[in-house]
Amino acid sequence: MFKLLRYLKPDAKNIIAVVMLALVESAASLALPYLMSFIVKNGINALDMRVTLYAAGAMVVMAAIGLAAGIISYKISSGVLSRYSRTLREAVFKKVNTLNPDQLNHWGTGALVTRSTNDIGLLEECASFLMRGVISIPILVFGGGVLAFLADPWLALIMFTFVPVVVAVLYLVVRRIMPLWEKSDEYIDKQNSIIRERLTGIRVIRAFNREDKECERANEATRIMAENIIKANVNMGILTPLILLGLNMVTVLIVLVGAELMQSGKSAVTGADIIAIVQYVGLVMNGIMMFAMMLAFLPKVVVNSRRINEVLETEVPAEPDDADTADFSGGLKFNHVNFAYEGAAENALSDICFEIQPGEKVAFIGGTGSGKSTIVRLIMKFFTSGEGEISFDGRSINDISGKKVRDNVTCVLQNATIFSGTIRSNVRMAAADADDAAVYDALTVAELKGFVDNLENGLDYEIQSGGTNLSGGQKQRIAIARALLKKGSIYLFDDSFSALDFLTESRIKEKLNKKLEGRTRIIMTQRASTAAACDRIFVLENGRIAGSGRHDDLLENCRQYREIYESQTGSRASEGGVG
Amino acid sequence: MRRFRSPDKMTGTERKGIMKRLMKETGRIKWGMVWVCVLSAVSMTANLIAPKYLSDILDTLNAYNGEGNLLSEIGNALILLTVVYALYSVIMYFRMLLSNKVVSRHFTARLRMDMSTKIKYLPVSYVDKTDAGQMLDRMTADVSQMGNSIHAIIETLLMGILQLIAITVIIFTINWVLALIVIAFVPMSVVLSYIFAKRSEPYYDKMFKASGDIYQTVEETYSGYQTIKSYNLESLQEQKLKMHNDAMCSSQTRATFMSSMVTPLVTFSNNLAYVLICLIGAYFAIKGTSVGGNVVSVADIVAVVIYAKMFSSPLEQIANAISSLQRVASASKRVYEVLDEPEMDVQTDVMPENVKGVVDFEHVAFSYNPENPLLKDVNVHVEAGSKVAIVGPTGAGKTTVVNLLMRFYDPQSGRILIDGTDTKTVSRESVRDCFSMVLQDTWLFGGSVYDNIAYGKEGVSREDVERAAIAAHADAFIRMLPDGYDTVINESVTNISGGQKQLLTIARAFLSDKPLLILDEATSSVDTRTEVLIQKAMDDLMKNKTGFIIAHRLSTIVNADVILVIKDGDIVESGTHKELLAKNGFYAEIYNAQYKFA
Repeated sequence: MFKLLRYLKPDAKNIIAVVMLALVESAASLALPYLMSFIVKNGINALDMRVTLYAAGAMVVMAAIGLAAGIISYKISSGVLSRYSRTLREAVFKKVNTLNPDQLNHWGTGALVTRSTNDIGLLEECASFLMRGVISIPILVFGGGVLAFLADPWLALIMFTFVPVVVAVLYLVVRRIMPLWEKSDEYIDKQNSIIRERLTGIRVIRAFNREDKECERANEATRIMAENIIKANVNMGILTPLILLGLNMVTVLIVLVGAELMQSGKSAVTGADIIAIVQYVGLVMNGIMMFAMMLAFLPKVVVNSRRINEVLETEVPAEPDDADTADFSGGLKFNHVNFAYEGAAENALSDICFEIQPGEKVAFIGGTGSGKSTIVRLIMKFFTSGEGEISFDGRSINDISGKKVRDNVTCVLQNATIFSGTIRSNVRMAAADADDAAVYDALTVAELKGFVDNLENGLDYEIQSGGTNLSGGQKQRIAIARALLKKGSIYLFDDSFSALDFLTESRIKEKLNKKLEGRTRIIMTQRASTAAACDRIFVLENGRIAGSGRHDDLLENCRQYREIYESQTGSRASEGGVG
Repeated sequence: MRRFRSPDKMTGTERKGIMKRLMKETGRIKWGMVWVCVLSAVSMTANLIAPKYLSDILDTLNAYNGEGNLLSEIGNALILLTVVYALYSVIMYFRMLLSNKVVSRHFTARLRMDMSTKIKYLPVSYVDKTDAGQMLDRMTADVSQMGNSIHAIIETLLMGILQLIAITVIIFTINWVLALIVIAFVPMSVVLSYIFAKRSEPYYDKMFKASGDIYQTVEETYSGYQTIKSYNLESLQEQKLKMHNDAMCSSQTRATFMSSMVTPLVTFSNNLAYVLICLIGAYFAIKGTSVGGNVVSVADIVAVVIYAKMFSSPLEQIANAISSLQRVASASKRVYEVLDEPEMDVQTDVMPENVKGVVDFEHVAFSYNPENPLLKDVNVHVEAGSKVAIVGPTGAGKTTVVNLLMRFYDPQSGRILIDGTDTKTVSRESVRDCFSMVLQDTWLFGGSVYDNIAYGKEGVSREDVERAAIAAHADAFIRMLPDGYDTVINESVTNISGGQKQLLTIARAFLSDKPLLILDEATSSVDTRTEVLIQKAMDDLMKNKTGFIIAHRLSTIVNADVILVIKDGDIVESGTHKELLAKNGFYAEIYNAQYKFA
């Protein structure tokens, strides 16, 4: 939890100022009971109104100092904390942007979003509490202690014997609560994942009429969660009454022993001293109560800091600085490339070799799990590990930065993300300076112009977050239009037509052929009709290249390709096949 | 906890209505609350008596001049004080225990279960429109907020007010002049708190807005990371975040400063009261003036000081409780919105038994929104045991047919009949009981592979499940999983591919053996070779069943008994593959598009 404190460094001076101011504030608040006991002793008991007036004047001054110190320290600390959370958010966000897909999947985007927002918010709230607590608690406890000591060392000693008892109690309670909180967190997660499943899988659940069972499952998790929260709170709740009881008993003891001392004359302690000490006990009590409350925060702070720090400390390989090097001409080579995902037993790609010339149009065909998407991820340099060599125009991908690669390779992903904003902002993401004519041009190729023309706001049509007000096919077509506005010498299509019907697909492809003439095109597909239109076809099966060549050659020589073709055209299954 | 979401705007009357309802809702825990109040009253009394005893004892000590037995003089009072202190702590503990149980078990948990149960009765259309994350947010964070507010109402608002009254009475009996000083400073604290709360409000609004923007940017960037990376948009997104982050930082600095100003200011006003009490008290004591018939003693001053300190804490707590109540209005609104959603109508009649599978669409019209009619006037008759393929361009409404058949949605007009029974007149459950279904959207829940397949039917044996898996060609890959059929599928299903997921859902459909079958893009993620194998199994599965098949891949449907071609809300063509090709219409156009090889 201390590692995240490094982000407070730029504000070190301000933090020191806050500490000093809090010191002043606490000292001022300690001065008040001291001055009051002074009034009792030297004013009231001595019947001296002048001394009383002076002391009261001093009290007002102290209160004013406390006020000023308080306001200034709040002014500074609110800035420090806001900046702290801003810095943390930015750091986590930037870090996540450099992670590779494996690392992202390790946590899941949902968890990363929580870490970047709510976790930091919570941490900041705790930090504000801790910052004031860390300063004022010792001052209250030790200041009160010293003042009590000055009033009468023996009586002060009674107070201090109590401190270790409090610490022991706190320790025991916190140790008991920790597992309970963990357990309730576990059931919160469980409840949430069941509810999430019930919402996302509503059709399946209802189709099987399992709604009652699912509901009972969720309620059970809620019930267990509530019981654990109650248990934790009950354990935690014993702290306040227990500490109060202890401190009140200390007061009683001080009065008793004080009276004994006064009566026996063993000590010069006076009634005014005892009045003062009782008030100091109150201050020390405040300090200890604040400490107990801080401890209640502690488990959450520790967990949150660990979660945030985990992300920040993830190692990301360094990238070469090659902003000024030449752009690609469109040549791509895979030389005996092997690749396995983290934790996977088998290779996703084995011994992949191919060479694509600039301007060529090739297809990779294969079913799910055949390795098409993995090839895309390697070309895009989403992953860096793996054996063998990938090179662009003879330059190894390891010597090229990811940014450079992605500047030159344009990719239309199967599940392209549509961002909140307008159609215009989504299409020209990669070309902020493109005018509406260019946007319309791209939309025409993507067969989406008709749709946009029918919209009331046209290009300004507001797209909701996640593109929920668009169909799957419309999203894919926006992604295609988006890619057309991005420059590049290599274009990758990763099953980018899967949500489109064949009619729309064929129209788009016709226009794409004209538009991208002369650029290298790599098309990942499951459809033989798509592959057949390419210069060369690579057939992928289980991460290996099972064959390559033109459509007709493959039909003759490659069993896997023939099977795919036949299954799709139905030339065996039915008599109506097309040759 | 700070919420990363923009605030809801609410009118005054709306807020009032919601608060009224929240209060009414606490009726379900009224007895628990009554007990909590009783215990609170007792512990409060103990807390209030204690300073009085203590100040009397201290006064005796202060007045001690070295003669007499001091210990016996204060002995009884000291014992009494000890008892009061002990009582205070014990009752405080029990009160906390009780209020905790009452609120957590009978309010918060109940509310969560109510919401969870509500989901059962919500129409699919509502769930389709609703973001799961938002729903979860309402169930967890918003309900927590409501629970905290109920706590605040019991603990502080109610007790705080009582305590204020009691303290006022006590200090007036001690010394009315000093009491007046204490009371005189109350409005000052209240006014200060109010002013700064009001002034911080616009900054809080800005802050919530910014935090909502931050959340959206982060969520969008992370879930779209592949797209972001492909287009080198990291720095663009970082700029976007920086903008919202800066807005957040500056509004947050101001908001927290404004609201935290209250603390030092209220402390100052309390300290002024403190000084005045000391000064005026000392003046009375030195002059020997009597107020209300009693000579002012040091004990009086000490007592008033202690009570004055007690005065400020309930005041501050009440202020906090009121502000938390204001925040709870938006949380309650979001929770009540879910609970108030109109529920589906319920039919008690059920489908007749032994459904053969004759399906009729009679003048069926449907749209998700009125401007965009999806089905205008669909009329179809499907014989029992026939295979129906539904074909059409993207967005033509193919999946809608499934939604209507399964009664996930009901048509706006027209009827759908199964074996002559209008499905709208019988319960949804009994309609769905006639169908097996495999959807494009493979849905697996957190559980073992076995559980996921067995989901289709209750009380099945291991052999049944394995047989279904074999039929769906899923057995081979399942056996290769680390724990075979017992492999647990977690939320981020990484060990199973999209195609394998689909095989599992197909196995699930094999297991549930129903007279009607729906395959909506059932094999879209299965590779073509596996598809050929599954297709054979599917043919077996579909024997003697009425089947509805939706697929882009025409090869899947060439063997259908009837092909329905949907376009622009109507069935434009129907017939067998051969008939439609011969017709050379829209179907032929789609078909040729697929096989127009370059």
